[in-house]
Amino acid sequence: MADHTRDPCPIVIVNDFGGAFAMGVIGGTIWHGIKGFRNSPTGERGSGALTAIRSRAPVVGGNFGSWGGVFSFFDCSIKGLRRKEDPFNPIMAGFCTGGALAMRGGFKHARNSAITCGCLLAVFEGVGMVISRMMTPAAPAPAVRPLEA
Amino acid sequence: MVWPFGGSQTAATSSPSSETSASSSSFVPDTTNNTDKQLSIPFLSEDVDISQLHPLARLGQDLEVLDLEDDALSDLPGSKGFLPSRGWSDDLCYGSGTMYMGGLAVGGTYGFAEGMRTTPANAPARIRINAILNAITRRGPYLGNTAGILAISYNIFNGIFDMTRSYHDIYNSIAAGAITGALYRSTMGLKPMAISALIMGGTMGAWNLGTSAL
Repeated sequence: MADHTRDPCPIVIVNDFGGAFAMGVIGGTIWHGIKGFRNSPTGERGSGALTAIRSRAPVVGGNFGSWGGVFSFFDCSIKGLRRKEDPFNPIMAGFCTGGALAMRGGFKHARNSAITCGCLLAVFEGVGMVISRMMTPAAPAPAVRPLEA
Repeated sequence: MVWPFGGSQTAATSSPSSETSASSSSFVPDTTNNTDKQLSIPFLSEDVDISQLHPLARLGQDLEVLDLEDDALSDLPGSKGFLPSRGWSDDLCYGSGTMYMGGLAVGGTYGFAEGMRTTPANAPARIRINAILNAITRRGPYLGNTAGILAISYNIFNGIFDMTRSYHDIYNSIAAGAITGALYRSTMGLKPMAISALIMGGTMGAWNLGTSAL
């Protein structure tokens, strides 16, 4: 059965982008709030935390968001090209995303980043499959009655 | 839900019957045969009510396989806009995504123009491309981040107001926009805060008026 919780493909890129961006901003707020608080001298901890959040949290959000958006873009493109959905779609999309985002660092950097992202997504997909297999209850007994002799 | 890019499903279900019979305009399943009647299947020992066989398929009822619960739109009073939405998290994702991408596009265009302008015309292509890329990556993400942060903050406050008041109206939007604007300039002093709050609140009010007029 199709996944009805997600929107159809071209427009879901915007959704993924926004979701990843929001996740990164909120996570970056917590992370850099704590970091700025700890790194400030006593008496300026509050303002230090605020400054760190103001300057760093949007950047974290932007990095998360661009990763999520580019990943979703590649995912949609690969789905459109292959015309099927299986765990290899996210792996290939992760490979392309890692390569595309590291493109300015040169070929070597892009290649290494692409392989890393592909492996990471492969691990995610594998763990997801294992978990869903463990969580799935045993198949119920068939609804039809056995044949009466 | 009918999205602008994927609205062909409902059209597909009703198309086959339109050419077969002129009397019925849409596809209506033959409910007289399978509502309460017991269907006899040869290899079953006794007759089975087929509506019990597969509840999700809803064999005994009208054709309603498409309206699953996950697709339900938000039922908050007053929240039916011209954009379909499942609730505040949908608004948050789409709002911040749209704003970030818009800011990125505008800032990237500005950075491209800036990079073209600042490099001398006789510079080598390699240096020119690098300067343009640098300008794009400086301007684009900055504007995108700012716009995205504003959208996130607005949607969170709007969601909080909607939830506490249990309905949505234009005042929720204006208040959320004003608080967002004030927070955005909160380190600059009272006057910039007030100006920013006015601008954001006015923008959201105008947006709400404009979309409700459509």
